[in-house]
Amino acid sequence: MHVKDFFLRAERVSSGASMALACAMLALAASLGLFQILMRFVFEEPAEWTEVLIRFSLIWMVFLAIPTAFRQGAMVSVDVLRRWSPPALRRALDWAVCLASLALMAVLVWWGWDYARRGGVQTMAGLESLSMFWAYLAIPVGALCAVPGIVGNLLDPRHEELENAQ
Amino acid sequence: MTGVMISTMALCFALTISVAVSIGLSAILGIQVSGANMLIAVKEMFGAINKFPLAAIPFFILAGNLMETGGISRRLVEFAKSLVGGVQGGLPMTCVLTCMIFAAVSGSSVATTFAIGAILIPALVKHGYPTSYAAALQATSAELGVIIPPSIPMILYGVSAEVSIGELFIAGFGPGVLISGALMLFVWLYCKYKGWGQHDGDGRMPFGRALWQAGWALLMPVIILGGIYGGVFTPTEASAVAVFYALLVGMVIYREIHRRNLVAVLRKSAISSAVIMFIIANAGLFAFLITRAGVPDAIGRWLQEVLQTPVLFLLGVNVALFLIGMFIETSAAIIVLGPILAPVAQHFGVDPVHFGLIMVVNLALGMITPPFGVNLFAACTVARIPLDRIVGHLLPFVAVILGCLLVITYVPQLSLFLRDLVYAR
Amino acid sequence: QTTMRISISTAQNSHQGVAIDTFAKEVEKRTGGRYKVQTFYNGALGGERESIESVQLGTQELAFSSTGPVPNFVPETKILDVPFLFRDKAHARAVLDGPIGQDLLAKFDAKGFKALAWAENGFRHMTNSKRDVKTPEDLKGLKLRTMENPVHIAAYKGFGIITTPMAFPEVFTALQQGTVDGQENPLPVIISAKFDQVQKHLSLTGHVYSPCIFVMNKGVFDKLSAQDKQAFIDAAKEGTKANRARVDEDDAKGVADLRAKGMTVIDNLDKAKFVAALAPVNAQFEKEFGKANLDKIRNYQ
Ligand code: NA
Ligand code: NA
Repeated sequence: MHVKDFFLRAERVSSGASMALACAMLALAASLGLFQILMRFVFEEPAEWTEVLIRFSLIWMVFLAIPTAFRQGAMVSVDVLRRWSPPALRRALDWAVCLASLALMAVLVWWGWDYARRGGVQTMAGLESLSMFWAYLAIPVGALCAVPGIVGNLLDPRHEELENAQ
Repeated sequence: MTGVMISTMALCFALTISVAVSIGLSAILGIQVSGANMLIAVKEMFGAINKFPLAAIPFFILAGNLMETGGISRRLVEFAKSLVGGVQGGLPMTCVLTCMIFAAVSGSSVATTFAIGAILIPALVKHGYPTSYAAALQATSAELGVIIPPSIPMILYGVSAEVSIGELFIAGFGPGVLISGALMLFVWLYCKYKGWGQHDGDGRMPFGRALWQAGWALLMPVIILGGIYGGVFTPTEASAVAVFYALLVGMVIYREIHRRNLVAVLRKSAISSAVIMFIIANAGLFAFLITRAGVPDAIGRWLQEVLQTPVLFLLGVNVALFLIGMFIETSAAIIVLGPILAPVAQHFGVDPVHFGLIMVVNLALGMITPPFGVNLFAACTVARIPLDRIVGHLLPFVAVILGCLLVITYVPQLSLFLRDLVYAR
Repeated sequence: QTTMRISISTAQNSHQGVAIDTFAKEVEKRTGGRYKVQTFYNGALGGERESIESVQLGTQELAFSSTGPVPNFVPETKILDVPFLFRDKAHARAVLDGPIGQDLLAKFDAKGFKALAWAENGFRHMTNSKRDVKTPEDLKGLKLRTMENPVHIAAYKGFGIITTPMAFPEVFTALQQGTVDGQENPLPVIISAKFDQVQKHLSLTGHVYSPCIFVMNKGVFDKLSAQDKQAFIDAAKEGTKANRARVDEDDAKGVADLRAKGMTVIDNLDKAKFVAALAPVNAQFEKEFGKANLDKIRNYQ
């Protein structure tokens, strides 16, 4: 019991931190979007680096918000079986969901890191001083941060997919 | 390989594994089976969301949430009620009309269901409508959220089939008005027939006051769409403008957004965006693998052989999409099927913009068809009833939308006349 | 039999399509059918940047692409983007087929590529909806959609153009709605995208030469026998021949075609004036790339 509580508390910190960064990324991207329009229409001096930065901050946002999405059970699923099944089977489904998500994250961490490392020789179009490493890094980092969230949802299940569905 | 991928995906769906993870895992298995390099998995996931037009998705989600938190839905309900609330069955008509207007601010259906349903489902129940009817009505009307621009599925179709998002947006008006009109007519007749809603008009706000209150909200679609079609900005830039307009209205004019709920809005929007963008990433990988295996060409050739005329092709596609929409999530379906079907449609002489509307309307219908329909789930959640209770009242609504879908499919002018007008084709 | 993949981002019926179709045919012929090259069109396997990256990572064996995204992988190729570097197609082809071009091809080796041969998109020309562009002054204040290429952008800004990056599928409606006034592309692109419907004025500025390139994954190439290596290189050369012939054909037909569609085509502009207008930017380029290097290309006979 002690271990579980400790784990959940640690998870809250790690997922919370990555979520705070995700929110910052979203705010940054939206501000850059406005900045781009201002530069184009008010100052007639469009900056070519805004588009790149918007794309990459949104990709970071996606991967940094995934941990919380997993934690809250916010990932959309076809949950007919779950709705119609007894508690014991539900628990089995929780395990299946957890293991499947962990398997995907494992691939994303391992190969995502490999991709980031190899992609490092490439520079960003529109922002030549930066290496693509910093964009690709979002994948392994986000996937790694998602692991506690996925396990956390198995230990303390929540199903908030509709609150966040679009 | 394709067989392995599709069966794995079906199995994962059945095990209630999330849509994104199911698609991603089946793709990874496909890579493993075909002996390809696993780097493809991460590379294509990244590539699928590394597209500037997709930035409109989080931005429109954020703008919609800001509008919602800023107190727009209540004002829109009052406005719609002052317009159509006076007749028998005026409240269900208010629901359709509010969804129609809210749709011009929001890019999604589920958001529309929550925003409007939270106010109108309790109101409908209070006026004596059965809860299941209220939920079915709300789920169906909220579909307009993705048919009237802005629309997340249209952005996805535009990006994956390489069609102009601006043109898709404007093509959504005709079908949106058709569906709204058909739904209003239907609920009006149905209420007359059932004898429901004799006193729906009680306590209506006068039109002038309702318009004054809702004016800032009503101005948003004018600014956004006017900006796009007036040549001021692209749809993606419009989404960024929408964010700041909504922020301005919510903080300065309605004064309902404060620092605390601003953080909550950002958080909710980031999670929603991440969920949908992660689906897009995984579906993009899946689509890449089947393209690489030559599946789209094979399907395209097969479709051209079997369905030899445009009329048959559109009918076949509609039947297939309806069945797919029952089980598959909308974004994933569009990303995978858009690039496969759009070229075939073009071969049959169907305008890619018109075809996009057919896909979006049909898959929006999938949001209210069981067993998997996000709108249904959302409406049931708001109404606090189990899914099976809604189905009885839902069937006539599905029939109405199907009727509209047929009109939209076989009367291309309905979608294209505005576009042709604005873009002077 | 080994199957490899090659992709382009344009249609099969184009100067790029004919390049990879010819290449695929020649590889199969020259290796006695031991190697088969599967062709993908219309960016089915991703855009140009993605396909070059795929070749680098080895997830795809071959790609044919314009050099648009190449400087992000092989910075040395950036020099080819300098405006008014080449007098005409014959000059450009001679440079790329000669020692300078071969030296540049060798630069790809260190980045995980084997660059097989240069080909081309042809010269880029400007279109707009505002006015006939006859002198550099006419460009001042035009909003032009451009690629995200720092060399291009620096040069266009030197003309006083307001450069605007934008996704290609949005360009048509943006031109129509006046979100941007114009764009610049080779003639085949202008024709296939039907820009003549929304642009009145075409000037054959030929301001930038757009090369294309056959790239192959280095690891895959190195595993070939010496004889097969030569077969792939020769096949790429055949692809280039077919590609250039098609570009010549498209250029010749294109102008007449666009005139017939109602565009005014300015084909007698004084390029020296445009070069002169870029003098300050050129000084900057000479610093960046080395005056000697630029002159070596400019004066190549
Ligand atoms: Na909408
Ligand atoms: Na469904």
